Amino acid sequence: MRRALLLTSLMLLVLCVPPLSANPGGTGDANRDAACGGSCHGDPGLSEPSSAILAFSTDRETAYVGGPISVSVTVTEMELSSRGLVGVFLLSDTHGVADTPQDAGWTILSNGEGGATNYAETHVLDAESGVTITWSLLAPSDEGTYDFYTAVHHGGDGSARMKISDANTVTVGPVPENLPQMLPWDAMTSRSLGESSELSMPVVNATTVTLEYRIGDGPIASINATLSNDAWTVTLPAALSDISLSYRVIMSNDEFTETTGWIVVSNEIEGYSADIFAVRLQSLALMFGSLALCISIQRRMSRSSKKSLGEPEAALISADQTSMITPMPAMALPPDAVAPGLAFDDPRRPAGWTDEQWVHYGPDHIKQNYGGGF
Amino acid sequence: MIAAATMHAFSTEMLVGSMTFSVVATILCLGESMFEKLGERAQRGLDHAAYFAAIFSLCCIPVVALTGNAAGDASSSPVLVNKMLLSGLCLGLWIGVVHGRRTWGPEMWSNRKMSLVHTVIVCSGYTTAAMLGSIGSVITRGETVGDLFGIWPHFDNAPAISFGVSMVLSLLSLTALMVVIFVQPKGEKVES
Repeated sequence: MRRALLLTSLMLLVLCVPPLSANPGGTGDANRDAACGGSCHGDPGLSEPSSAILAFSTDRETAYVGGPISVSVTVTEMELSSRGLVGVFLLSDTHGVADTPQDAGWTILSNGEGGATNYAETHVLDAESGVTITWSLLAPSDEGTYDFYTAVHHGGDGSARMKISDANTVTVGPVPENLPQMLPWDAMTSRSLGESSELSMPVVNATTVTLEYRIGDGPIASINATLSNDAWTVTLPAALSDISLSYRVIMSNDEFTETTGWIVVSNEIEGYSADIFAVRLQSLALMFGSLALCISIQRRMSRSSKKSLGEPEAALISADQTSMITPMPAMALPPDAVAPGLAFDDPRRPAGWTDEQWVHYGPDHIKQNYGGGF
Repeated sequence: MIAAATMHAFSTEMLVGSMTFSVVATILCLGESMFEKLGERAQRGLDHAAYFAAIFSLCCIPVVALTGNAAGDASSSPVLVNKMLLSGLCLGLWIGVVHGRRTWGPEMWSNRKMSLVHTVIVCSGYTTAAMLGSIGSVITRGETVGDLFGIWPHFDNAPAISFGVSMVLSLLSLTALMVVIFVQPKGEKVES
């Protein structure tokens, strides 16, 4: 009966296991392929379909080779978990391997979230208004038509969910003669608080280069860059608090004006840095210290446990130490050395005790174990 | 090739499983030594189960620590620094658990004081392992079941101790351990 009850309880416990929900805290912005997260968000046994609507848009119809283009992905109508966390992908393919825009030759200047990755996570308060992520890109060096896919990973109603869009085509055309162009460039996407930043931009065919910046969606301010050593340089003012700052570069000459997408700058709060060897030593110190404490308590208790059995302390000295005692020549104890009523042939005398031990510890032994007089 | 993070998750599950088993068996042994409901045979079985599960957990701890070390860079994260420190504490306590059981023997359950001390050390080691798991959960999933307790620490800050002081601390603790091992009289098995 008991076994049946136990088995039933165990089976009930197994049934109580909740469904898995991937990584509800997200995995952070990074360059990720389409297969990333598929084991949770894509597994039919663990996930459910997403009702998200993905909208793809660009700031221009065609891009030039190496030229700037902004790609925006708007996600709406998705189910939301209690955290409201949503991860949005910009992909060049859906094979699961080497399908980031960089794999197709694109350069990501900004993901609009303070980084330069093809996967960005953000919190969404309301599924109706959704979220828009804007990537600022530089086109590949080869002309042609390029496909973009967008995907979203999110949770909702206790399940992981995902959706991948159909292909969106972007054409990369030949560069018109004398078009101002940004050569391959690592845009600044993060910096420390309180520090101004000098940007050096490799722009060609431009007579004027201007840096426009704004805080949040506020008014746009602009600074003119100066040409020195084949690069246009400009200083972006320091941010004194954790604000959302973004900037873009406007390159122009008599015929053309080219503008990059907005590049969002995240603020690096003073980073943590630890000496890893010092930490290892501290870990060792904790290990040795806790072990010493445990062993010390255990040995002490082991001794006091023996003591409580009524054995004399001399008997607790380990065998190695007793061997150090020089054997005394056999000497006859004077008859008055024995306490009155304590006989050497007393049946209560423990086996193996010497006469000397019996004389010294015998009375205590009898008192403790036989409760009273001799 | 399997990623270090995957190996870390695998070895952590092995560790936590065997450690939980050991803790439950230990607590049942303590209960038996106090209330005497299950019988001596059951207690002997539980004691052996707890002992061997503790030994298995002890073998898992270095694997977990090494794979965890390979999975993340602790130098830039106070949370990972705390994880490394707690790993040392966990290893020390758990060696203490195995040492205590080996020193005292299975008859320790007949001594209530020893049973209590042993169970307290086992539970301390397990709590440390639970804190380690909680930190891992916060890193990967952004939340921990420990939050249900309300007072569960999050370890967002780590102590900044210089290399020199760390060296002195580790030497001091090593000396303490050596003194305990070689100077303090050895413990003996509890006899029935």
